[in-house]
Amino acid sequence: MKSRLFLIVMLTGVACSQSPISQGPTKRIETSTRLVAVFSDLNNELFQSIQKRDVAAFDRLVGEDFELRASSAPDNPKSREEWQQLEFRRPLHSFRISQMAVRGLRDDVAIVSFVLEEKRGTTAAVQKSLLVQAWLREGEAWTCQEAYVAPIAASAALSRKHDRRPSGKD
Amino acid sequence: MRKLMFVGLVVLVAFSLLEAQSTRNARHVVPTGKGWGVEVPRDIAPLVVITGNGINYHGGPVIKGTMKAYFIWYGNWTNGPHASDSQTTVNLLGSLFGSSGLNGSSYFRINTTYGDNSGNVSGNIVLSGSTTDNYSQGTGLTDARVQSVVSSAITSGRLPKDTNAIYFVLTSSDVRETSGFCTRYCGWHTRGTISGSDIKFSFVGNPDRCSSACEAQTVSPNGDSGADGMASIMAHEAEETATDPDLNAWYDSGGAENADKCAWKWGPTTGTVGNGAYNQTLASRHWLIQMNWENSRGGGCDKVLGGTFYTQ
Repeated sequence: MKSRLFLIVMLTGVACSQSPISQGPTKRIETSTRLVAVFSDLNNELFQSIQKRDVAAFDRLVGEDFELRASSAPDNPKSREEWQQLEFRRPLHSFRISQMAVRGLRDDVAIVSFVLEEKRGTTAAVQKSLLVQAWLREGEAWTCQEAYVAPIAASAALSRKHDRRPSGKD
Repeated sequence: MRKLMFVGLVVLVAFSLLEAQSTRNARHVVPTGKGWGVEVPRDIAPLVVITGNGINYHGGPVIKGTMKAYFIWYGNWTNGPHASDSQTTVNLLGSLFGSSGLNGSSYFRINTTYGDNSGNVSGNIVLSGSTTDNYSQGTGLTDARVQSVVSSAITSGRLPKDTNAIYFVLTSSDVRETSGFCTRYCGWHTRGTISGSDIKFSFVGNPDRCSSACEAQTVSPNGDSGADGMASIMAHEAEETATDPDLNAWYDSGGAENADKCAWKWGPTTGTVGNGAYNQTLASRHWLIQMNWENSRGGGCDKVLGGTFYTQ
């Protein structure tokens, strides 16, 4: 009797352990907000302008008084011109934008945050950063007025498959 | 002898369970035309599944037959903070998911271009029950609490347990979903095990909470911006649940499911978007509902099965 019970428990255990339904919490599949769609497109345009060294497109998307602050040098903000020169000097081979969130503070002001993965220069390493941007709309045109950037440690497991968004380079 | 038969029976039952529960790694046999079959991994798309249209099959099941929809109206849908937290919204969305709404429409039949190795999505969806929930989980919901809302509706008997269905948790505008409603998403769908069954459910909040993020227009075809905004999000979640119920069937190389590929794209509309535009007439009403990705003719977003593809 004992051996029968043992067999039943063992086989049932094996059966349940194989069940996909008994696995842990499942991810959700999100319907992105309209603003996430808008700012994904705008940021794809922005980083494509850097890839192509397209000054006109860059200037259209980045405001005149733009300032970039980086966690590595918080006392040394970069102006639009400085950032553009820096970005255009280093070849951007590929990039990917993920985990975007957008807070529409008003109809014409939005705070955008996302994870940027980029491959630069000759190294194959992917650099990951968290970017936070402030965008302002004048008429129908949005321009980026301010950005903050901080690197994400390589060990941070932030990239998830269902967060993938088109980068134009994937 | 009896002992041997008993052991044999137990082994047989256990193997049946293993087979039934294993979807991702299961193997199945396809005919060779030579009188015997060859076993192929299920991850290789079977012949009946059409691929190569910008979206890929990953081996999981789709929902076949008429998909049921169940609504759980969470919070205050009588007189909440926004005008759309009202019975008008309940009635409008009830008509959209009624038998003459999305059900069998040329729009929802776009999903019939998706299938698994035993058949295709039917293109039918019917509201089969609804209930209310008076803030049982408070006004700040986590994903886990959303599942608790669904679980409670089923285990209490207010809604039936149905694996061929989508359960919508629809929250009034005073309810937050703390994992990113209004900043990352307007809704989501997933699956979970409830009372031992594979239950598909979705969260959709009243978009009047964040109209710039989750509504295409505040002047809307039915004069109820909340309901009109929810209509498109709910259609999105329903068609993704039909074609990717367990998150292992249809999505593209970037992880986008069918409706994701056409989110916030309407195609040609009657009227201007932002001012009461519409692109669908269902249940004798006008709606602005996003297009869906058709898995044929190379793939594209369209408003009706077999219709013209549009990029915006």
